[in-house]
Amino acid sequence: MSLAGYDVAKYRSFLDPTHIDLRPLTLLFGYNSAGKSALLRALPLIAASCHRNASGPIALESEVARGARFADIRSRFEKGSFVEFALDFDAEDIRQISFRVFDVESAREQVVERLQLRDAAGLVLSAVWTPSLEPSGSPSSAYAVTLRNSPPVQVRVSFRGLLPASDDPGMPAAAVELLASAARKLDEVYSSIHWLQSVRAPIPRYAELITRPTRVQSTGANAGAILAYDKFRGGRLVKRVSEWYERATQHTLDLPDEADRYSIVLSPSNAPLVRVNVVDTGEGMTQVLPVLVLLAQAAEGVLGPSPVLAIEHPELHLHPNAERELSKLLCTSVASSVATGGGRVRTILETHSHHVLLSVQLAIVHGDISPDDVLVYWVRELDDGQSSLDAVKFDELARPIDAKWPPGVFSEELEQARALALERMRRAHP
Amino acid sequence: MRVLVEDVLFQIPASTPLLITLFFHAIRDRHRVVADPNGPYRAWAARLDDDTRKFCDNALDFSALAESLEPAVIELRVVAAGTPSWRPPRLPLVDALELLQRPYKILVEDARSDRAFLLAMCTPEQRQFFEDRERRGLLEFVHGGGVSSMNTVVEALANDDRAQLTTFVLFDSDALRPGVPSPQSEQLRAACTPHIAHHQLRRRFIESYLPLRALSDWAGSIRNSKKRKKRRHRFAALARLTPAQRHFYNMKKGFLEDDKRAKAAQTAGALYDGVDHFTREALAHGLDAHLSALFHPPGARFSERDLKDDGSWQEGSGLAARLVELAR
Repeated sequence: MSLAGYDVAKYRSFLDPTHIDLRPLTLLFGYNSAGKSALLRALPLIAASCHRNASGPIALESEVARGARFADIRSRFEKGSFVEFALDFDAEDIRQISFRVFDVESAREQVVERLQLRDAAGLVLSAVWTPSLEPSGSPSSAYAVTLRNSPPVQVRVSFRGLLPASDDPGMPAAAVELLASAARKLDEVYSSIHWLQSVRAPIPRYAELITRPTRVQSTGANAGAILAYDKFRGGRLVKRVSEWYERATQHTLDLPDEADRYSIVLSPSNAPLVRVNVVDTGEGMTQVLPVLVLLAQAAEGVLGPSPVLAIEHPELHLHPNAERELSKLLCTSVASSVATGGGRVRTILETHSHHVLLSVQLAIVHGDISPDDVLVYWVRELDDGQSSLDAVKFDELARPIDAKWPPGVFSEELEQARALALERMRRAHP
Repeated sequence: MRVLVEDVLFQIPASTPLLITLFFHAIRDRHRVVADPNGPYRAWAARLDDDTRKFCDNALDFSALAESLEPAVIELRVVAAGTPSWRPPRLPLVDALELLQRPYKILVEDARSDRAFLLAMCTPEQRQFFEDRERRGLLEFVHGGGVSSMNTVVEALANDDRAQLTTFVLFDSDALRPGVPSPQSEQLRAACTPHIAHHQLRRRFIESYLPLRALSDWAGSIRNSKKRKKRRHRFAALARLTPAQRHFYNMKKGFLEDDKRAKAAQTAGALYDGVDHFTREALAHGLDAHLSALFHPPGARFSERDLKDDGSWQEGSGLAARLVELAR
């Protein structure tokens, strides 16, 4: 199973159905407040909603929801109380699972109003909620379930988060199997999406390694613990992360042996005895650490067969030189992921970095990655406040196809530099 | 324009003043100069004074950066000697400089309303590109009159290679039905082909791209109640047409005017066969001859969403993107 894309509709500033194709590297660009973050965060929101303990079909209690009510999640451009999501899979059986989530205001709960499963031939199962409330006031679990080429049956379907199940004896066996298969896929979605938000939490100066850390949290927490644990197990991740620091900043990273705690230190490459706790270095050095750990984990294959890395502003606070090295690492990760075949690492980034884009273009031109492995979305706000996407693909010379890149974007510096050069020339040769 | 400078030019001392002018155009007029910075350029630049050398270095750097995401599609090769050749363009330095000083011209029927139409079909970034280029004198909308007089202008360009390279022609199809442009429009298209970049509107004329919302607002926007009633009556009739009928209807002069063209064997065919008598009557004289004013100012009367809903965004924004490519 590999998540190949997702769709949102009636979600935040995206009223119209909006599709995001997840390539090995997908980049979201756009001005501030255009809708990039909302689009990227739809992924961890869906992932959180795919957890069995989610409070409802939209995990409003999750970190990514940031305390939102349903009204904050749904589009403000329409009065309807719906949000629609769909997940597209590279799979033989179910290719798409789509949800329409309805807000039952009187119950202050949400319900999956419509679930649709599609295979290669089209719609294979549809479950449509029969609007009714239980005596408790909660939405009922009565659904009209229709299998392809079959008449609808009225049965009960329960959802844990977005995971469907049914033990209704009236449910056709084929439908039970399809729902179970969908639930398995959604379970995988929950574990395969790794989200890093834009502002990462400070790294502790010293910390104890009590248990095996699970995964890098969205705040970047656990990145240090994962490295500390890795060091005991051979240090493959530490090596990868340190190599990047060396290339980008001429420092090496290490976790010195200490009795009951760990710390992360950086040393100048040519003065290895000088050890500075990473907390005492520049903000860029610490902000990038969780990104590096996540990429190293993906490269080592410890995130599962088809992880999706959703990272906001990976380049935050980095000097352009280091930005360039980070971009190269991203491209290398795309290339190696493609080379290993099988499940692919897919990385989606929200970024303002021209360096990232230039590095990707260079990697295409050098043949390190295929133009098909990269997709850029220019996210923009329309006059009416809604958001819209323009997909920018590249040819083999890394030129945007059909001039889809918006003119003038990233030319601001160029314009200023031109004006400066002209003025200097005028003064030098009046 | 992307300007490739042959290395040998940097080895001809007499070329230096003209080469510096070329670099000046690269920075001021946003052309892109491409030369190998480690080739003969290096020795040439080393002989310049510091300020001029930095200026030329900057021009190469800026050009490379500009080309990364927004590559020019017109490529000019500057050669040391020989006569100009145009397919593809290979010009001696003097001729190249003359070409680079020309603004890119968009020949349209009506410079005001067609410009407004094009800007209405743009994303904000594309619109800013056109407005900025106009302000700097690098791009001009040229009033060509009707399709017939534009034909005369285009025919006059037949022997002007420079103008052919720097002119884009945008014109109505004047089609009475889908896929059948008028003979005059086809004649103009043929005159442009293959050397002059052009776009023949798929719909009849620019007014055919006005979304219903803009027309609805227009119908209700007049104070005089009698005229308002008349406008609304006509608009309601227009709204009853199918999209294809609406896109080829003569909004300026109505069915009666088109009937005259039947004598020249130009008809709408079966396009309006299902239209009832009352609708035909309401639309007999068109909606208004000045509807193109509704494109002013871009974005004020309708939005990108309206254009998408109306099905014209793909053609319009594609046209704008192509023009951006050609004009940079």
